[in-house]
Amino acid sequence: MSRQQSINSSQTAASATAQSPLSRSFKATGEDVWKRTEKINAELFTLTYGAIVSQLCTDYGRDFTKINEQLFQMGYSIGVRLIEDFLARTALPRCQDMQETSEALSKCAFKVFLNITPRVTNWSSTKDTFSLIIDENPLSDFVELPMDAMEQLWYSNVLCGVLKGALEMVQLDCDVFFVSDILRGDQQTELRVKLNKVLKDEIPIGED
Amino acid sequence: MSQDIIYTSTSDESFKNRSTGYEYTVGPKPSLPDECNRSPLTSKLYSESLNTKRHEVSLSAMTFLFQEMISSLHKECKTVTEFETKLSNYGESIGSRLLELLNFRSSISPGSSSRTSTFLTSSTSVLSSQTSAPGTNANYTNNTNNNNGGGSTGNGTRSRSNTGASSKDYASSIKTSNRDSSDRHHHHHQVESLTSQISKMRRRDLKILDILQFIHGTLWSYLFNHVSDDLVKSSERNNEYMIIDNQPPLTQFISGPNNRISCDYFICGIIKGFLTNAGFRCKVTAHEMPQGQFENRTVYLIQFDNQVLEREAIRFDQP
Repeated sequence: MSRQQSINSSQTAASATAQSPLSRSFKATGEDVWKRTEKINAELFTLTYGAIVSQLCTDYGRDFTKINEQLFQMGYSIGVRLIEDFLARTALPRCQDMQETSEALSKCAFKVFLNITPRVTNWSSTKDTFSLIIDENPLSDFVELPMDAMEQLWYSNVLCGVLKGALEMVQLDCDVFFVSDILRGDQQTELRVKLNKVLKDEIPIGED
Repeated sequence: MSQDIIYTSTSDESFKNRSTGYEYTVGPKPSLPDECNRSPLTSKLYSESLNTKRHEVSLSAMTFLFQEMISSLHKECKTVTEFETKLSNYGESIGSRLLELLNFRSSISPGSSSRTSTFLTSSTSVLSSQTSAPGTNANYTNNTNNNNGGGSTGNGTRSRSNTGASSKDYASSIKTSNRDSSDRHHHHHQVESLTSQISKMRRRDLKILDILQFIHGTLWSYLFNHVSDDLVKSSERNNEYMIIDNQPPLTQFISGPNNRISCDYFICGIIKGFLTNAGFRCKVTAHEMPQGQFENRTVYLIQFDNQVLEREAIRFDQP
């Protein structure tokens, strides 16, 4: 009896720590890679992004729906190339489920590129949709939206595009969108990632 | 509560039709009649400190963004000149902001330090910052407005007698305005303030050489963490100066010499915006001049307008 109990307790201990070594390794990888990464002043990054958005506002005559799309598109084409850079830096294996993906995104991807670690929360019951809460957003430092933009503009929408593009390149077809943004007067900046389906690795036409 | 306020202001149809965004004449948040009695909007901008936090992002994140900016410009521009002008315009909007920001940060008095900032590696200025100064907030917009009030006609016309006393007044008036804003936004009381550490504003650079030194040292250190590799005066024309970067970091991944040099016009824009806003009208161009091991060595050629030289001759050349 006592032996069985001890076995049980060791089992529960093992299962309790089953997830943490993984997430710890994501964290360690992220921090380790960040240390070795060449860096640049975040304010230059912030100002450059600001210059881009404000130029878009002029170009598109303050049509914020179009600006959101354009920012997303820019992000998408960054994302599809950025994933290579990310995998080369971190050498991460393929994630087994969305939970792992979320950890990799928050603790590695955001850490390695932007030196932030968004919180992962709001899992759907089916475990295929989650939220990233971005407390410190280097894109939107020093930013205040004019009133007309507050209603419609997702200022950091480029991030959605980046995630969409990058995830698609690792066979995860996802919808990525903002549900709230501090710049719009919301309590927090929340980015939602929803898995549609896992794409099959397809051989390009004419290859076989 | 803040949501309630936003709802009120944005649902006002008459306002919506009138507004095209930021109202420069009114300020960052125009207050509507029915807004007057409410407590002011919580603005992140006002609660943010301009203190150096020395945050960093990875160079790849920056270059990815930069590349995307360039490729979208590429699509819409038909000629190289158009491309370079537009890219330079992006930079200009940044340079004009940095002029104010860096002037404030360079004004921090060394005495008020409890930890040395890593913001500058330049030996020309020592910056430092305080760890905590509760109760006051840095207010960039207010500062800038104040600033314009103080010398609205630009540096060129500010008198030489603008010595310690007047700049002290200037700094203290900024402090006052800041206190007002901090009272209004008192709930963000734990933000360090930049102005609380400034006892005397740094004098603006009025001479060509001084401001170029500031660019060579402070601006470059701010942008790239090191001073620029050289600052040279042209021996042929006396309105030309050159700032040299042996390895421009932003454009290092762009291949093809001609393409790369066009992309350096972003930095040209930053320099131009900085100088123009300081009252030094000029033209800035980028040129490739490889030397030895530095294949990407870039020269930013600054050509000042004649008026700048004339002004300098009148004011500073002793007869």
